[in-house]
Amino acid sequence: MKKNKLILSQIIDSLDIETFIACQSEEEGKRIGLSIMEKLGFRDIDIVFIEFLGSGVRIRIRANIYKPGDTYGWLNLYK
Amino acid sequence: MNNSIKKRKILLIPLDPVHDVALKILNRKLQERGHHTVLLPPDLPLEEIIGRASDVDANYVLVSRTLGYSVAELLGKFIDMAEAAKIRDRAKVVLGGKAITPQLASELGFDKGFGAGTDFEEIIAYIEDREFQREKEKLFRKKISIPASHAYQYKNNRIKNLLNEITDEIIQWSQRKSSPGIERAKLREKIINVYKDDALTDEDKARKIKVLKEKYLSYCDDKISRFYQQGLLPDKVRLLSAEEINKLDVYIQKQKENTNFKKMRHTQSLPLVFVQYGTGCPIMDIAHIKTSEAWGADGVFHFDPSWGARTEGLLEGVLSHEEDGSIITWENLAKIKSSLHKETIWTVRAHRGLNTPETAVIAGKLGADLTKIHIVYGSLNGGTDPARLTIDGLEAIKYAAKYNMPFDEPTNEELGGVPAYKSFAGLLIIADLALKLKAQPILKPLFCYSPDVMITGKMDDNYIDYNVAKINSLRSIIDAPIWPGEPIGFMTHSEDRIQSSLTTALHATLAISLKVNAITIASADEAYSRGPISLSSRIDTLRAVQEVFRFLGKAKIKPTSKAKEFEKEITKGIQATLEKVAKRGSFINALYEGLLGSPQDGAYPGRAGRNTLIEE
Repeated sequence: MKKNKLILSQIIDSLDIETFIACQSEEEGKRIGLSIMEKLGFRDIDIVFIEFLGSGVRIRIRANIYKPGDTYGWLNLYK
Repeated sequence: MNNSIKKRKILLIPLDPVHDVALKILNRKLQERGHHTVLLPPDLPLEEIIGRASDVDANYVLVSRTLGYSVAELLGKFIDMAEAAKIRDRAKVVLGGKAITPQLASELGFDKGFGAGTDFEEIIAYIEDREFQREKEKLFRKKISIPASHAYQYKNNRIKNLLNEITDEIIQWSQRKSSPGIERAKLREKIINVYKDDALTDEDKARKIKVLKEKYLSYCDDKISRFYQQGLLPDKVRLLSAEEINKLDVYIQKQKENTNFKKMRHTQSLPLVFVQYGTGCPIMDIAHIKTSEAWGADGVFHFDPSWGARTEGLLEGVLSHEEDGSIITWENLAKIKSSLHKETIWTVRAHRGLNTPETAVIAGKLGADLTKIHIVYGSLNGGTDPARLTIDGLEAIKYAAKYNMPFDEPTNEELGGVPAYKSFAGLLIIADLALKLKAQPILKPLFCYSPDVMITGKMDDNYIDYNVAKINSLRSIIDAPIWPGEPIGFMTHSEDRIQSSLTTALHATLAISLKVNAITIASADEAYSRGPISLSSRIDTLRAVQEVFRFLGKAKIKPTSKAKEFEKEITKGIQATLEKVAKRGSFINALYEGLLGSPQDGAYPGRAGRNTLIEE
């Protein structure tokens, strides 16, 4: 977990996952999308885009690693 | 032909059913340098390839593979057969292609591997046994002056005369008037001059600055005074630590060592491509700026928080802000300036609030290339009192001229609903004022799907005709630089990354076709309002715009006949608006009374700074 956190600290700001989820409604797609990110260990997450059409949702979910004003882990590379 | 090069015999083998273009190009380049080459056709069986390779007696065997399937198996077999045929005793065997990496080539036993995107010159250097010299800094752009190629000659005499009348009145009205913003600007200039005066001792500097700052605070709001007197920062604002600043300086140094830049334009020289930054944190801003530079941006401009425009006075220090917009302080801007590549054009936005002239001073003293000032937009949709912003804006224009900073004027009133012709009337008034004050205005009409066009249906069919009409109308009036923003395609973006990037790219295509001087582009996160813009989303649109430069080349977009109709309508509307303003006899009252944008249009005279003028 600590190793994962160290790797993530080199992301400048956010990690987006863009995919197509099979589901029967936008709500369901949203729930599944958020659940995927939570299971991956992310907490500060938001759905940037979702569109339900056909067999599921096209979705982009963002996990914020660093927001402006945070103490950036990647800056520690520069000492 | 270079006679000093040792001539090699080279066999080129496309180990592929059809793909051999790269080898054909390399073959031509090698021959041009005097080497003897043999190029085999594609789709030969391995046994035949090895047979023909044995006959050639080459010094180098270059094998290319494009398709990604069965790569390791096929190439492994090839290298084994080449060994068995003793080709390797005589020749170096080199592998390249889209499906290849240097690591794979090494694992398979090749002497050298070149992956996708390798410069042909690197391969040739290897064959000629010399070091491949990357150009120390391959930057595809040079800083240029946007107004340089424009004479600012009027082409419409009626409009010219109306503007002359209006701007004479503005200058007359402004005589013997000042404001807290102007007084602070004068004091800021003095403070900066004291800091920079090497003839003064540190004690003298401290003494003089103390006196100047006390005067400065007398013109500031409580929020700002509290900071200087008690060290209290506004909510969500913090000072960066010394440690953070030290690391940032190292980061900047490392980024400046970058020698890889994408070439934005193809066969065109314009438009320049700008991005705006203002994450709230100067560290994050610099990360965005350096990445944007690498991905081809010509210029960047500073976006500050909206509360800054409503607050009398500026803070100091390297400050981080948790919301949109990076705070304007001397230290923040100096840090950002220190990070810029010398060929990157830097704009500092002064345009719409209570600190307009002081911001212009700071920008000028730090060597900003451009600034942004627009009295009309700031008065009608930016929240600042018209009289106050007229006085401050005039002073800012004078500073822009003093510090040789051309400035752009965005017609953001359109976003509130003001029709383009009225916005352009205001735009031209300020431009004419600037010319009288020896400044260099840059016209910034919007390429936007504005409320007015939504209501009137002018973009029901396409986004092209009306935007073409805007540019052509302005060009029919005056020869001035034109820089659509801010950003292009405003209000056509959605949270869909592809759609957002594509609408930016398509509007860029139009801008390229129209040969405007510059454009400002959004990130793909333009419509995403629940968080900050991500760095990846910035690259999305830079990359997309780069592709449209390649796609379009010197070709053009052809509008329909509606563009001409719209152009006439806009020009007529500009003239009619200017006639009303001239007849009113007072620019300030014209603003208050809605002649340049009314409440029905969606424009409301601002209140910040009302009744703060100082009559001398």
